[in-house]
Amino acid sequence: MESTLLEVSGLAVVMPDRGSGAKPVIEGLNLQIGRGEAVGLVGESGCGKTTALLSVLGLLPRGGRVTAGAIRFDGVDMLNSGRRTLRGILGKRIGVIWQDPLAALDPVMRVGDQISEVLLAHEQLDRRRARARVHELMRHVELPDVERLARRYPHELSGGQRQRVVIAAAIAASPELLLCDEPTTALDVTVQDQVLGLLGRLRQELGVALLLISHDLAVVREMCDRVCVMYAGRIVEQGEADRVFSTPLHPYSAGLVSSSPDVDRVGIRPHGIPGLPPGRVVDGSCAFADRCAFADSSCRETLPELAQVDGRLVACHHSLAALREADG
Amino acid sequence: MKRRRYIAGRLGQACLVLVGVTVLTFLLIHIVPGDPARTILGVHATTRAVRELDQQFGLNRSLPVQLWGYFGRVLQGNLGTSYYYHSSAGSLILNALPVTIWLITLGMLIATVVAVPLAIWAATRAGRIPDHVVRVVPMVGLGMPPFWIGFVLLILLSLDLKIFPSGGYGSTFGQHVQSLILPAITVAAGTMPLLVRSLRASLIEILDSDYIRAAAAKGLSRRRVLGRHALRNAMLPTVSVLAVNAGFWVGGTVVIEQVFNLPGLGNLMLTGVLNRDFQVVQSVALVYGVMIVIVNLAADLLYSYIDPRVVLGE
Repeated sequence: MESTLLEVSGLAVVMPDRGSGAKPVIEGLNLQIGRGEAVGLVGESGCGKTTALLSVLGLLPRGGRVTAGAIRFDGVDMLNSGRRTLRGILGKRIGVIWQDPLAALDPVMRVGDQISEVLLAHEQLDRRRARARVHELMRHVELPDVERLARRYPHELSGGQRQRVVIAAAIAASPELLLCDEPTTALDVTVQDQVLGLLGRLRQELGVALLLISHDLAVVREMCDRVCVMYAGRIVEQGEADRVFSTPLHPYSAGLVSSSPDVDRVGIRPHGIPGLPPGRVVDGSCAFADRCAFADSSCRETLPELAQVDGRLVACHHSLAALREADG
Repeated sequence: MKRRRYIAGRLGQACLVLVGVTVLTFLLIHIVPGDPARTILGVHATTRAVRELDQQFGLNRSLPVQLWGYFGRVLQGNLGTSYYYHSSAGSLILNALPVTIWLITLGMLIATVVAVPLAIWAATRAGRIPDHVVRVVPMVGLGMPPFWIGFVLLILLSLDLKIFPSGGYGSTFGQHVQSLILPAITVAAGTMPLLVRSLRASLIEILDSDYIRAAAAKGLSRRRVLGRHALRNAMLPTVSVLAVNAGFWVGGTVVIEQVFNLPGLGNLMLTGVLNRDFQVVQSVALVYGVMIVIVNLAADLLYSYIDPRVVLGE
């Protein structure tokens, strides 16, 4: 890691809640992404992954707001800069690949125009040169028959083609950071691999840093250098992707790993984690205690802090390192 | 091809609607008491004179025969002769039609110019004070009958402040425009609340959608995010609302023309009804029918133009 590109520190976010007005959904989130580095963010639905991404963009849904912490992109304060400064970064230096490409594309605009508007917003290009660039970008993301396809509307494209259009728009202005929110979840299984292959290739070619949010641990393991495991709005384990997935130290990470199907272990049924995540930040105890096989009274009385264990960060009173040692 | 067939089909339907309009107005005006000959000749005319005039107009024949004859003439492009003005209904309508069309166009223009910024202002501040103001105030406007709004405008701006003429249409283009402004504002006052409501509601929904977030994340200007992405999508339901209510706002102009003494179709229609000028009333009703059919067809075409997902004829 040469230098830090994105630095999120002490981030706290609340979202609107019918009962109490506002509920905390992210608390004390620290996250660094270096230039060219790929970082994965994993966890169950509702743990705050997407909210974290939207906070970086300053695009939280209505009623959501950042209550503490800082977000810096290459030194620029993303939370307190003016609209103009942010506009110069969004789309230009940070590209976003969204979970559901059909929802993320404007249904009444030709897909080519949705790519070229990024160019027109950030680069001094006339319309004709922009169109040529759009075709070039579309070929780059392996779309066929680009002249014709550029004039199509989103509903006329297949799911995989739509996601390629979203990717083309994201990389149009050669960003330094790509934020990917479950880029393959909404796609057919056969298309998922192609899109992931494309992302991997683009990353190598463009040297772009990556924040990859995913349910799919295998994907994160393959694509990312580091991984953060999130639970109930907090990071519970952070470290090198390979090591976190081969020897998870937090019981929740271990649960995630054993819940995900593994082609190397055909016949062994993945077992899930019993219970449901709380969907909000929990204070004064470990949020995972109710679902954890190792929990005892200390877990229910004090919140475990992220601490250095075995070369990574883990927030657990009973990190599995000790158990592994005991096992021999 | 599909599009052309769709339009042809719609025009076919329109013909049926217009036949219905013609039959209904024909029956209505013939069933309502009152008789053109008696109106023209006055209460002291002899029964014989009235009967002679009836015969001249063909009003002594049975209703179906008269209706059939009327259809025959209309299909030949002859809308009949006004009993009252002694000129052809067609030329009367041709003189009056531009006034009404300009009134509606200008009214819609004013309504749109006011409604769009208001709706954006409210939707981007949803749940806060501006939003509540925009939600409530136009509703008050909707609650007031158009003729009342017209009277208030007349009293304030024409009689007291003398900024606008108090009625009539003038004879030069400048005077026309001046005479149309207050009535057009009155038309707008009746339509604008519907527009604002519909636009605001769809904007609020759309502003929280993924593609608006995606557009903002591209670093586009606020103007482009709102105008090119949000507003264009929000217009769709609004176009439908306007078209569905076409009868309501076209009908509203009848009263408004009366208030401002504009020589438009509504005025022609009302004096026609009072004078039992059957040919004029029927023909104006037919023209109103055609206008509403055209507005609805135009709305469909506009809808499919804005939203590529809508394929006409499917």
